[in-house]
Amino acid sequence: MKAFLKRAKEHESKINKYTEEYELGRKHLANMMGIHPDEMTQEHINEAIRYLLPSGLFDKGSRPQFKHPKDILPLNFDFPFDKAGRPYHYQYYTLLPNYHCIMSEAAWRMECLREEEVRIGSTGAPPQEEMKHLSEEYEWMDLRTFLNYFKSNHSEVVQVNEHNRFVILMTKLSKMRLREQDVAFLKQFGSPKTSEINVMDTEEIKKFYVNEQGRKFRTKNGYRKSAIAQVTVYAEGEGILEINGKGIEYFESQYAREQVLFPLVLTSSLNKVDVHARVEGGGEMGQSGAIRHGLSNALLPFVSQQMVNKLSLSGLLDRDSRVKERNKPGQKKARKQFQWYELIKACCKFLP
Amino acid sequence: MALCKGKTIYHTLLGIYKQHISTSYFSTNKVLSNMYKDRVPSVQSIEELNALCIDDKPVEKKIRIPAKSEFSSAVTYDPIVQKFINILMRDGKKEKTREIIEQVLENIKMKQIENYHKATTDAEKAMVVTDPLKVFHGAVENCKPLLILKTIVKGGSGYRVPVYCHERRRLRVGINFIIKTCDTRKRKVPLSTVLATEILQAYNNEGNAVGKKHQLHKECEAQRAFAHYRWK
Repeated sequence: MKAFLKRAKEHESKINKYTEEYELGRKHLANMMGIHPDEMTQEHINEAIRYLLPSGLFDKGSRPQFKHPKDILPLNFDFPFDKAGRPYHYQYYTLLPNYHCIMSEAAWRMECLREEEVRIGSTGAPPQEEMKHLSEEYEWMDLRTFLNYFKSNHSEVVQVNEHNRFVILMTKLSKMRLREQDVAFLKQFGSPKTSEINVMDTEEIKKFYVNEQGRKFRTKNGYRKSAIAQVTVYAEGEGILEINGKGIEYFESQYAREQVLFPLVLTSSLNKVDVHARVEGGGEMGQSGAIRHGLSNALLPFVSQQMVNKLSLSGLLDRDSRVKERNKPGQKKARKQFQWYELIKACCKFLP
Repeated sequence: MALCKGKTIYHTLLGIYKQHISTSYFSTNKVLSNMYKDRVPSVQSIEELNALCIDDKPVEKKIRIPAKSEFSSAVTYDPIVQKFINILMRDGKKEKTREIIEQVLENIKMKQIENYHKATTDAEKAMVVTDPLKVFHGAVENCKPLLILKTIVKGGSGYRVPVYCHERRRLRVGINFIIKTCDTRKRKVPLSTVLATEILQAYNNEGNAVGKKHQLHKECEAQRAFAHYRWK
């Protein structure tokens, strides 16, 4: 109780101090811009700070900001208990009262529904209210929306396990026969699954350019490890293959050659298409992997939809993001560690 | 300096050293994270692909695990042979092991052709299998064990308990049996000839590699009394 009062007082003194600084700064800014301080809005302030203190940081929360301390500091302290120290909420002593309130309400509803079913089954009486199954499957809240829901409204920190339990409970509830009040309770936390499937954009796939001589072509980049390739594919060709000015003899090993030819063999377009490629960086297998990635992306508009499905299902259109692991301090290489007598020498630096 | 628990001196010193270095370098969640955790698995065999892609209907847009670099539609591609190459490889030298295994398959074919010409009647000639890939598959199948011994610690002492295992583990154990019988012999002959004889013998259920499997099965029978330790 005393600790709570202390924290509340410190919070108030903090807010008072920061509001004074905020007001002072606001007047100075208004003076600089030439506007009356009463007519200045938050948008004016944001524009001014983006002009005066530009930053290239990706994280928008770490860029310089100028806001009223109410928006930045955590929520104000409402006393959740009376003078004697008795809390208002009946689940205050679980440290997450609102989360457990929701879960216990859902469990209570399940038990009521079960009793109804038992009563209907044993006696032949009709139900007291209308009960129906849900017609569609419901999708529940994401992890992120779930965490924000509790953090912004009630300033509670929920964990990932509790989100899993939440999802399991709600799916159990949704599979029983429900009354109208139960459906209204469930709609707060979920919505019916949309049967729309995210389909690949046909406009992006079918784009191509036309040459001066009237030939269609498409260029795409391919990446693998540290190799970068630029691949252009010309339609209505004979089967020419060119890599950095040479043919397929640019690669010496059989596996590198097979990798380059694989998307052409899958779509059976070896003699119908011309390929010109330019490669830099990496080693032999890395360069061939980069060409394969660029080739399969550049082939898409000149091939039927059935082959496009094949290329996407086999995983040729996605980039391989595996890269060599970095070395770490305190170890010899990425995973290899020192022998124990070398650790003694290193620890001697930290001794007093 | 704080004391910390450890099984050996090495672990205690590691713990002491790591206290003074920022934990972001050593946090296992960041370093050992599976970067393909959220991706959908992709199809890795061409027969399945042909069976799935019949219509002109477009496919769902999802980020998939990319295809391996050995995956190709050539006639010589086989996933089990690739697994064998990866297990036999040492120090990251893949070209060397590929040459070894190409020699092995060639040797198998030469020996089977000899047997084909030695056989006199037509019935015997039909029994001889000349396809090296079929011989390879059959040999690996004959070396796979059904059960494996696993050490479970109960009451302070470790017991070896017979346990089921899935296909991937059985494949690996079977391939290890073949490789280890060939490495232990003192040989002045290249690895490819020794491997070829072992694989041919395993195809006919003879030899040391299959003998290791029979030995494992006998030990599992002997430890039959502890089989219930698998469930607590």
